[in-house]
Amino acid sequence: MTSVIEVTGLHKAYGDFEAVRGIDFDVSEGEIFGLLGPNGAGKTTTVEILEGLRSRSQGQVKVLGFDPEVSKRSLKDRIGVCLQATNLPDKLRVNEALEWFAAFYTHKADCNKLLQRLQLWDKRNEFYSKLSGGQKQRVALALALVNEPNLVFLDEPTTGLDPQVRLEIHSLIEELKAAKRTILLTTHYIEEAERLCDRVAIIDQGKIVAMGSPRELQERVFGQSRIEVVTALPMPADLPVFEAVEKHSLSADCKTLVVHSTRPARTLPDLIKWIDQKGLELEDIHLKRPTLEDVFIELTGKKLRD
Amino acid sequence: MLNSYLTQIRMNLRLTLRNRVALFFSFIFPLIFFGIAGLGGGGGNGLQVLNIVMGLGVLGGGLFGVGMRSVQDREQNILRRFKVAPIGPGEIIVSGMVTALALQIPNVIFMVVLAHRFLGAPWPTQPISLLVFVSLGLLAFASLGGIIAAIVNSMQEDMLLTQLFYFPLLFLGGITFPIVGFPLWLQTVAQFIPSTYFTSGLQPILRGKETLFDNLPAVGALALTALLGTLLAAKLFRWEKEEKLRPAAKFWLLAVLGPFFVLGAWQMHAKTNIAKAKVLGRDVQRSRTALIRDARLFLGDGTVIDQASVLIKDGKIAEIYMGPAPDAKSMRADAIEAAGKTLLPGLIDVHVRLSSPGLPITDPDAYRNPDANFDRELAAYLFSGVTAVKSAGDQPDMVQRHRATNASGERLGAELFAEEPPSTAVVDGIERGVMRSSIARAVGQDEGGERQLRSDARGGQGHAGIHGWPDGSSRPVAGAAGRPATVARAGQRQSSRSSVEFGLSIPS
Repeated sequence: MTSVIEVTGLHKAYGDFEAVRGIDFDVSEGEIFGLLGPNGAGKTTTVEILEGLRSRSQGQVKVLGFDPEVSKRSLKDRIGVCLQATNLPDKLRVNEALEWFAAFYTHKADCNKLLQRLQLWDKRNEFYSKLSGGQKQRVALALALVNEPNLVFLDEPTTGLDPQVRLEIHSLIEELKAAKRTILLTTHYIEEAERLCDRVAIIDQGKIVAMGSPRELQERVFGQSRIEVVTALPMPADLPVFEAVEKHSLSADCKTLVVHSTRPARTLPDLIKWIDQKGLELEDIHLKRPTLEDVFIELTGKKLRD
Repeated sequence: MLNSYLTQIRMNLRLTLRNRVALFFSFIFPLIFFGIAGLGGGGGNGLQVLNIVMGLGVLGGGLFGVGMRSVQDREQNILRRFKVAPIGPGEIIVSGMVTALALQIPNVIFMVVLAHRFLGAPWPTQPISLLVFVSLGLLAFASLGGIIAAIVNSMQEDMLLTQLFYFPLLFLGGITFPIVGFPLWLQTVAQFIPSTYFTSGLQPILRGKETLFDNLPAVGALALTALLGTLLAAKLFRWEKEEKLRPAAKFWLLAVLGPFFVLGAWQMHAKTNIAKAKVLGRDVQRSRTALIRDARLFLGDGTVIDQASVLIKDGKIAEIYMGPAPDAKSMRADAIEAAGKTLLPGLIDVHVRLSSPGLPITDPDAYRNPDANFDRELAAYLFSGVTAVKSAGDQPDMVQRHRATNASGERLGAELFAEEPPSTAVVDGIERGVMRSSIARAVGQDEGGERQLRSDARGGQGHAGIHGWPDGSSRPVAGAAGRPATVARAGQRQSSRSSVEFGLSIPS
């Protein structure tokens, strides 16, 4: 597969502050690539460098074969971008917005088809100010697709939308994927990345700390499941050595124990047997496969959303 | 590319037309102003009303238009959306400017039609100059608004700074009333203000007295400001409200005003624009339509009409009405009640010497300032009802100079004509030498002067009697009694004007 985006050794400094400190990744044609990271991790800076909106301090970047810093206009002409928190003039009608932006590009999509595809046909003569949040976001997506781009940047496309609308947007993105568009997605939402992305890069403090498909990441980072046990009486601090358990942690009141196991089917009966022998009275027990969220917390020590 | 500009302009126009506030200030506000002017008796001066309304429209439309939109769009994260499209700041600013033009030019034409239809203002005789000049003014003010928008960080800051510019530009620049009424120091300050050059060009172009080419410094400064403002606004353009500007960048504002600092500094030295301001102020007064009502009228051919009224339009006698006076308001004229008074044609003194101070002379220094004597005496003649004089024996270059300042209206005084030089001035060899060099100066000064000297010489009348006038015309005589007379001959403006002001001072 051909690479649509190639980034090698990307650095970006604002004065003394280094926002991006050496990032490498490739995005292949037709792939949905997710950038995950807490606020201030360098996601937005990275994406804006790729979109030709910002200059870089160091490194090689190729997007659709262009150097974004050199061929800004040609690049902008070919990509679609959906930024978060953008607006349009209140008294602009939906179809006028599409017509307006279409005029900037060399390749123009059929605006009527686009409106139908994004379920905006009934709203095409509505003023922008009269639209709901979800409709506005669909307009933003429509504008990102107005030039039939092969590469689409979606920056937090569902932030601030209610769950129902978020699902609608997700299915739209899946349609895009089916149409073989390449998508670079940044998001705060783990479920979004898990559902939509072929591959994910986790960025923290200007560096990529892990990269791969969501499943690969989960397995590579843990390769193990997490067992959480709650007892009525405090557990002794000197735990016996269980087979297949790599590490464990006990809460301050000694009533909650978390155990990471590579073979949970083996560890689970061992644990229950031990609690029963000690007469600690089991109150609750969970077996959890790690989520991307866990991966994220494990890797960055931070929650994705505050 | 062109399509992108056209679409932008079309959308900008639609958005503006959907904006009630913008519509009010562009179209309803001038209408209201016309209404007030029409009702308030300002009807005597349709051109002046037009001048003010146009100035208000162009200044307001320019300053509050494009720039303010861009700050608003930046604050509301609208520009952010445009940032990711293949379009640059230049395109956004240029299409904004063109939109402003596309809105204001029809508006200007609309105002001209309104003023013509309801206030009796004549059609502009220099329509191309007018449209080009108004467009330049609009672009200059719009670029000023644009550069303010480029250097502020919030809408409030923009409003504040724009208004800080708006009011001086409006009042000091002579848009609302002629700056000739200001003290001299304030008039000098006004020479540093862009709108001063806008009004000093707009008014005479509107009156058909001048074209673009008579206002090249103003045209140049407005164009340069428009250009600099557009370039700088594009350079300092910010797509997002989070991007802050270095405080030092605010000084770019001064760069945009640069051309006017240069013009102002030049005017401090040359003072030509201050002199022009006097002429403009006089033009405003002269262009009023006035009806002198119920006077006893001497026609100058011996006829005396006991009750007659004279309509003065644009500085000329337009009509004479016999019997009881017609209603002034229906003619959109100011009424001057002259019942019990006598109205005369201006008197003409064909042999005067203006450079000597006159008698009795108590101050020998008075001889040393012939220019001051000229001015004082011409004013005194006019005050006494003498509206034209023919100089005999004054230095020709001085005569030419004073003739020009009086004719333009820069100074008020009797209209001055020159005597044929060789027949009066040559007394002996020394004086001949003086006169020759003076003639040479006069000829060098202006071609008009040379023409007049030549025609004076051709006339060959000397100073001996009342004959034809140096320019070959005969003086105006209001028509024969018993029917209204229409007199409209070039060159009589001064005398009819004088009759209005001073003829009435002679008791009946």
